[in-house]
Amino acid sequence: MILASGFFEDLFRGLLQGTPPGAVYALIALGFVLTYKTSGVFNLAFGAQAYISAAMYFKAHSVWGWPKWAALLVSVFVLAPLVGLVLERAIFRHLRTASAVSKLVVTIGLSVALPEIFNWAARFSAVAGRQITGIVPDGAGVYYDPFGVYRFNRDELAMMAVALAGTLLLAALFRFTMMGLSMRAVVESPRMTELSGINANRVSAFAWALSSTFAGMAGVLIAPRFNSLSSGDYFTLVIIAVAAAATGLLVSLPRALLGGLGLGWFIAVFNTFLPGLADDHTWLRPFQENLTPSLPFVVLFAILVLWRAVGRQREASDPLAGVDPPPPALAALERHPKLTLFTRLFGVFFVTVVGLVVWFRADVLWMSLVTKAVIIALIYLSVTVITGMGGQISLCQGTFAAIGGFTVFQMADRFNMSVLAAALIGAALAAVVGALLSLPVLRLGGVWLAIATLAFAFFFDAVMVKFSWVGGGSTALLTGTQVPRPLIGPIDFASDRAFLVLAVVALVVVSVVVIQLREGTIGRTLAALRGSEVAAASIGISAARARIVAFAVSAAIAGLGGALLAMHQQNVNYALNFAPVVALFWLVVVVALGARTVEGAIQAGAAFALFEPLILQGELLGWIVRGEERLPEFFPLSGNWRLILFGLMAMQFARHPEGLVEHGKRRSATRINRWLESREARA
Amino acid sequence: MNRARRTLTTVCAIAMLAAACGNSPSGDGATPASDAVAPTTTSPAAPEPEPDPEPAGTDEAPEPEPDPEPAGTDEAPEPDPDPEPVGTDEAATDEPTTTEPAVEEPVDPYPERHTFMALEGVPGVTDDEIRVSVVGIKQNNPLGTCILDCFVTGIQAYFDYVNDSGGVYGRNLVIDEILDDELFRNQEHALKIIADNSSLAAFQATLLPSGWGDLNDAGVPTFVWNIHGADAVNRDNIFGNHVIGCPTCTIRSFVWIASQAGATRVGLLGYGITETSKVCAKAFSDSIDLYGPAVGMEVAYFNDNMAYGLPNGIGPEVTQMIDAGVDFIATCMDLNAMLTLAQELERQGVRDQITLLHPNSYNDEFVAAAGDLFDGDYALLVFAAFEYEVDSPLRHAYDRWVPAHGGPLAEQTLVGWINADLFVTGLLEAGPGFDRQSIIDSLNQITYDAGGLINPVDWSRQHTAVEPFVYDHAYELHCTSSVRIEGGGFVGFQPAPWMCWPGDTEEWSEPTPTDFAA
Repeated sequence: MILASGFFEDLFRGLLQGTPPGAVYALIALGFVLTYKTSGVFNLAFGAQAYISAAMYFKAHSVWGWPKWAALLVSVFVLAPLVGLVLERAIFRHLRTASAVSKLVVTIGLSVALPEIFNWAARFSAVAGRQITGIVPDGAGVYYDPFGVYRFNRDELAMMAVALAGTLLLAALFRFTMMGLSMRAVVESPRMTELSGINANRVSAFAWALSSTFAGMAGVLIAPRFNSLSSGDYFTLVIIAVAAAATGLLVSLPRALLGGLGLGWFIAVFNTFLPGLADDHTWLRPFQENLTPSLPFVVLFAILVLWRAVGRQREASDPLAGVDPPPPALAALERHPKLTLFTRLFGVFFVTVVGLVVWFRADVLWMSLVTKAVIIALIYLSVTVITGMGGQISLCQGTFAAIGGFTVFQMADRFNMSVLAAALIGAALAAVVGALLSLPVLRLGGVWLAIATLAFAFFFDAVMVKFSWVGGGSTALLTGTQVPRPLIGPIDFASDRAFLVLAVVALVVVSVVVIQLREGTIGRTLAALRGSEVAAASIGISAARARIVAFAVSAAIAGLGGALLAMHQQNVNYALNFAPVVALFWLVVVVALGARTVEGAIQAGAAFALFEPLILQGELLGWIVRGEERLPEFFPLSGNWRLILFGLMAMQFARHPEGLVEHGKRRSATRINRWLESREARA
Repeated sequence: MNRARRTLTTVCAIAMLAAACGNSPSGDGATPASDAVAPTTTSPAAPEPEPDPEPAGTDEAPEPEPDPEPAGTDEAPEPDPDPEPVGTDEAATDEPTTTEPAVEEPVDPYPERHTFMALEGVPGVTDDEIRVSVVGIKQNNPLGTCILDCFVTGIQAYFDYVNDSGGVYGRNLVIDEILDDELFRNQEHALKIIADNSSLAAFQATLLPSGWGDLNDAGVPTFVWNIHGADAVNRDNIFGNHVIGCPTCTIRSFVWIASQAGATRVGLLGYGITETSKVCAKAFSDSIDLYGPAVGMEVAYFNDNMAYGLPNGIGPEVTQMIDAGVDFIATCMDLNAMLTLAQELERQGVRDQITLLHPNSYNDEFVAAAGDLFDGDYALLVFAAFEYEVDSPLRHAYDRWVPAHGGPLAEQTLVGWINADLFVTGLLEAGPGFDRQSIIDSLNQITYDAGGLINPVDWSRQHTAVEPFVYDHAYELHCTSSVRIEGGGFVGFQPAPWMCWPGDTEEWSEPTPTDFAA
């Protein structure tokens, strides 16, 4: 026993107890830094890469009975680098000069798609309630007690050793080797690196193989600490570990290591002392109750907001990017007027036909799906404002929508208020929260803003939802969060058809507001800021004011949409509709299809709600071939294909950052313009 | 700018209009069933056929067994296909019947069970078949446990068991479609069942029951794995394997089990992120506060703020519990967390000094895989544990038919089996001229105990939520069935399948050993 008494013994034990989870966070944080330094990508798919190797190792060793060394070889040293090479070749090679935000969106898509692709290919499903075997013999059964205070098992010691050795080796790689220097150079500017006679493609491929191998090793080492093996667990760990990576500003390996360990120590010491203090000092009780489950997210948010260095950090960008042409204008502004007229007429015709079919032929299921598509499209317009117009990535749109939904629930439940009035209050409340949130994160940009909003979303999820004045608390356990449909005079929106009309009206109104906003002062201000913040500031434009307004308007739209969704489903259904991961899904769908236009948001809403039942379930094909019995046997396709296609859509975003809808419009406009010109020339 | 002003004016006009409006009175407002005293109804499983030697698969809707004697023609009534008819004319009645003591020749409470009557316009019912839909989670199940497949196995096994003796009203029971609740699309699946209108009833084993309200409003009899109190209460068309009436009430069974373990200082753990877990931990704590003095027990440690999944481990909390002298820990956490907790107790050298109460670990595979780590612990159940002898035809049939279908004797297969039996009970109670509403109305007049496998539920009054110290809608008896873990497996320790307390009081008393099948 090194330390004998009271406080110091508790403190020392707390530090030791925090070391194994700290090593987990450190491993992931090191992976973040490694990927960011070698590719410029803030890789939220790191957890997915780690999961693939861990699942492969489990399958090979525990299911197929392979020896550990063979399972390790295949999962970490073959599969993991292969995944990295494929990602580099298929996606990230095309994204080298893209903005960090674009890369972030792609990694969100990959974080969902990669585990699903692996599970489908390997016929693997989540493992629960089972000790996962590590790479060390009898790793969970043999303990060592180096200080006589707290014991570590072999698996934990191996994890800590790899974290430390990884830090030293990677630091040496970057500092003392030509390859390390080359990798950093390719991130800075692949074109300038090529001018120096270095093959940027080869360096980039090596970097991805290396970082993916590290992810695989981390995944296999981490797995024994948890008695389950699912991709969701790894994603959660990644979100927690972002705080550790942030302490290293995404570039310092030693600081990432210390950040990870520090996070583990901080949480353990917090949990060691605060419960006792809260017993003695009741004013600490609320902090103890609310901070414990949300501590990593609070730490992350605090680091981003309070640490000035984060705001000052320059994102890696190609110095030659200045000679690149600016992004083209919207296709609608450049195409032939006749084509614009034709497109609008066709749009009106299409919407009318679809509307009539839905009105007269849709059953209760399709009426519900179409209504959901309309409401989701409305929510997606909030992304159009903040991302499409403002150029900012917000990962908490689901939280704003939840505020609208919960407001309607609370107002109707407590005060029997009209849900329509409550929806407007919910939108206003969401706007206030959005504006307040934007204040501390104003100076952040790019991925840091995205991560700060994600931390806020997880904080809301972990802390706010359980309050009785938000999520209903214990009373909601027995009565749920039920929301009535509205009533306007003789019109009872309990009817699904009537409610669809209400949703369409709301969508039209919000669409008009967004278009007005885009064409008005705020929209032009945001466009100027998006083009060049320095130039905008030089002519007296206030970036802060414009962004606060953008956040507030965006949050209000999301809040209104959330309220409508709650009315539609007659329940808030928070976990299903508004959880942070769902909002990540939203963002990728909107930006992949087109975040800059209203029609992009509407088509994204339709895709989100209707693609799977219409396409994957074979409804459309069945209608075409006149009968479900004539469909090929593989219909209906598993819903997992939705996740895989979602990932593929994110990959398409890598190639077409303007969005698939806008890309399609440009391509068709170009072709038709060419055809019109040749026709005029012949005439 | 003018356009913006016009838009703003329009929005404000809509806002003012909205503010003047009200809420629709329709929707989810199912009224509670009447409070009339309900007769107890036993399982309708009168015939005793043998299992089919070729079990049906579980991944797809199994094909119905070919009926040796095609039942159902346009000419009613059909002759009884049962080779040994047990019904008598005297017993033929539409009224629910109460359980009678066994006599030399058992009386079939449903003598019309094979009486065919042609039915028009009843969803899912043809002259040959009665079809149902099943929804449950399989892919992307975050718990990683067998839910949909096992649930379907239980239902299919029961349907084959009934079909083997001639079905119900001359019709075979058939699973029409199985919908995987992957991606948590429960509401869409519910609406599909409603829109297709090709199933008489729905069965649900889901983690996020967002579609139960729609099924209830559409009048579809729905039989569920009831782990969702909020989505089942006040909905008269939702029937479950048990009732979550009052999550905030005190629990004598928990205190009794702790006393059986010799507990004096109890530690309580719950997740901070889920209200269900927090309320559960609070109910445990309240229970010890109320009953602890009677049995010499107190709360020594309470923490309902654990991070979900325990990503930070549970080292500091275990140290604090050791310092507090805890000798018994009850949690409201999942089985992964229980394993993590037990491992941490082992690491800190106190595993053999502290007993655990498992709320969700009644899983042979899970306990066996842990070796002797859980030895001495207890598991709390809401159905009669398999380790106890329940002498009822339904239990005996379950023991034979579910293994014959390749299913484990486990919670999910039993829940599917019980739900299927409850559905058939409703059919038989409704009579040969049944439809959805008559099934619902019939079930809402009876008390059902699944042949002693569950604590009897009086469906005439137990759709309604219960508040502490108000007993109008509570169980008549408050019962528990619990087991101990020894040698990497479960063993019974109670003198009877159930230990029960009076349901109309919160007073402490010693439990009464009870066998509802006796």
